[in-house]
Amino acid sequence: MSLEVKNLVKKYGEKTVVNDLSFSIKEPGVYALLGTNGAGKTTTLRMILGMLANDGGEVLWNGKKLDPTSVNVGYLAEERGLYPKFTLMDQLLYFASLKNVPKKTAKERIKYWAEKLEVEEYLYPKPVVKGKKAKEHTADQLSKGNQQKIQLMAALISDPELIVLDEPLSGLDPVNTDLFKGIIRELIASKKYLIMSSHQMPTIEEFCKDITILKRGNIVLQGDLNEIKKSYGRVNLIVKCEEDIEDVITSMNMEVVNKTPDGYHIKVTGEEMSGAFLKKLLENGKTVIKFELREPSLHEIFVEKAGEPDEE
Amino acid sequence: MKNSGFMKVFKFSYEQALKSKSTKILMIILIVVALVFLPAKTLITNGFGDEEEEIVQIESVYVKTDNENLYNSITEVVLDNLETKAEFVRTSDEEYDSVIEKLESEDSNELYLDVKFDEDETSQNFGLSYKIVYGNGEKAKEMASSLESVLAECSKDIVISYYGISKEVAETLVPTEFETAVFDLDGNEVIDDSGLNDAEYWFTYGVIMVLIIMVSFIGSMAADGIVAEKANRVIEYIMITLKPMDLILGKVLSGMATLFTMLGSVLVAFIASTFINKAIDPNAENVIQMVKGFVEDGTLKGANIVNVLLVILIIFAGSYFYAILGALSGGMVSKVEEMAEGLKIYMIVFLIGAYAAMFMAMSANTAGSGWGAISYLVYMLPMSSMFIIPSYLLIGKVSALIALAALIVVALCGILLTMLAAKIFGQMLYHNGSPLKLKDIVSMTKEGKKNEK
Repeated sequence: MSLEVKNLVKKYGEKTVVNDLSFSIKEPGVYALLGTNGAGKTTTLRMILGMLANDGGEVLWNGKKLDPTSVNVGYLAEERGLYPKFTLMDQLLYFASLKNVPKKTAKERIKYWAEKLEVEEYLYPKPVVKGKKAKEHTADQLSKGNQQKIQLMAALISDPELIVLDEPLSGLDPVNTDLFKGIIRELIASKKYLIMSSHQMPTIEEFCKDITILKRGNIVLQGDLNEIKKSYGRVNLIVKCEEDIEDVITSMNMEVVNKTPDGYHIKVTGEEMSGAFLKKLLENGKTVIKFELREPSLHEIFVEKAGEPDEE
Repeated sequence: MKNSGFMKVFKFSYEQALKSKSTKILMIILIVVALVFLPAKTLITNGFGDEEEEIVQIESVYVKTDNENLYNSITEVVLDNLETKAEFVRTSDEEYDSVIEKLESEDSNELYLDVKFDEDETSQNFGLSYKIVYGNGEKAKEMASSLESVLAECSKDIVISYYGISKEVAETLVPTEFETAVFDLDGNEVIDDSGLNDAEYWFTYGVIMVLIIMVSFIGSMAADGIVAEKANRVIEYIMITLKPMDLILGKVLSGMATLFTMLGSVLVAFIASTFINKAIDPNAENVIQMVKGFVEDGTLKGANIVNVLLVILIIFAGSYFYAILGALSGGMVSKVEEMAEGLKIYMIVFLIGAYAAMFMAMSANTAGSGWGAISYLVYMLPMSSMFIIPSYLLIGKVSALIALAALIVVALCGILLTMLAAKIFGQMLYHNGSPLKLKDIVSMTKEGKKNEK
């Protein structure tokens, strides 16, 4: 199975919001679509899912035009939504029926995900008075986090082959974030194809192999995340000494990016420069507690690429 | 069909609408009102000893005719059919002025009846025609109207009595309509040929009122259904597998089905209430007697199978027209609180249609139809036809042909609105911001055409 997005274009009047976007997912796993607010991520996801008409290009699933009515697709939209006054079970069964999931299978899957996401008490309430039917919960009786769990259940109820998660972890507390991450890991392990959009860079680094960074609808960076990082080289140096090292940094004309309790964050050109710096520190009798040379983080790459001024 | 997207939306929306507390409460209130209204009215009026309706008492009728046999036939038949006793006095042209003088007095209970009879067998209506002259005041007018009704109903019997022929033979010979002209004292003819009598008026008004209530519910239900999907932000999830038309049709038809379910329950309750009422007051009529009465007194002279079918179709097509307009209005806004703004166009169309039908019925009752060509416009406009055609068709005020033309127009307009919705609804559904204006809809239509290409 594979997903290919070829030269996708979307215009609103004269404004191009997605410009000639192409990428492909050839293996199961998570593909990250990144960008600042308004970069065109959600528009791209809507075009992939056939909800928005595109002005150019195509989306192929196994070489054929992706039709979400025939391909089993799961979608967790950025704008989360549930019917506030309808019971949770009613709406999950409705969402399952829209995906042609038989009622019996849908009930089994609801049970499975309710256990996984720890929302059984809302879907299968116990009667307050013994022998009396328990009152079913409606969506407006749930906290935001629990509503998000129900929405994730709705996205996964058809056991989709392709899953699109738009900002899946936004608004979740650390406990529920871990719960959601566990679900994503389970989906990866079961060889699902995922596209994820997120502003949480550590999460992207944790799950995604390939990324695309969009800026105002244009691709500013694309490829294998490890390769991208390697191409930047080890240019980030974190140094912490017992003594003050300001004098050594100044003498070597080095660029300090940040100074934190963790130490000095310094930009270097490579291993040669960092080696020379370490030598100088030792020559000056500084006691080095921490000396870490590493590749730039995705956060740094993102800020650099998506935050730099437009070339016009 | 069962697995089509719109059927899934329809089934879910319909079930949830019936499950909702507000629908249940509204339904219970309407059913209770329909169930107890008639019995309560009977109990209250009987309790207060409501006076019986006053019957207009005609004291004397001055009949001018040269034909004594005809005079005798008229006297005999009319006296048998008048609700009260009256004295019939034969008069002549010479006595006309003195009779009119009597009619002029305020408390006069007398009428002047000029009977024209041309025995030439080729004459229309056997040459029988009447001219009634009445005096001053509303009472005199009512007496004239009462005599006019009796003459209209009994003229066939008068001719049968005059010629001494059997009823069977008369059926094949005697025309059923006789010309009766009513004049006031100034000699002005009171024309009432195209107006509505009381029964027709109340029937027409009752039907219009029920349809207005129905349409006001249907539009807001469809609009609510759409805007709720947007406001609850479920739209993005469900639109992966649904086409915009699935959603709009599902919502529109489920809104209609919910309303028809409510109306059906209310109708059943009303029918039951007429039987309860009959049990309380033996003089009251149950629903079967009511309908029978309407048919027998000629109010529902247009009620035949074809016309009833046309009525059902035009109500359905009109409801669909308004429901899809409501759904489009719902698509124009993103929040429930902006609904009033979104429903502006819908309300304008609805008010024009409902008021045109109401004014037409009102003026028909007070001054005859008098609308000429405008009445055809009201019959044909998709926003007004569903209000006026059903009752007018059943009372025989419009022909089946006009109703069919109105049905075709309203159905075509419904289809055109559906096609427009298909073009722009996709974009409207994802619109999230200030309410859309008409110019936005036009540009969306252009965009829709571009996407089709």
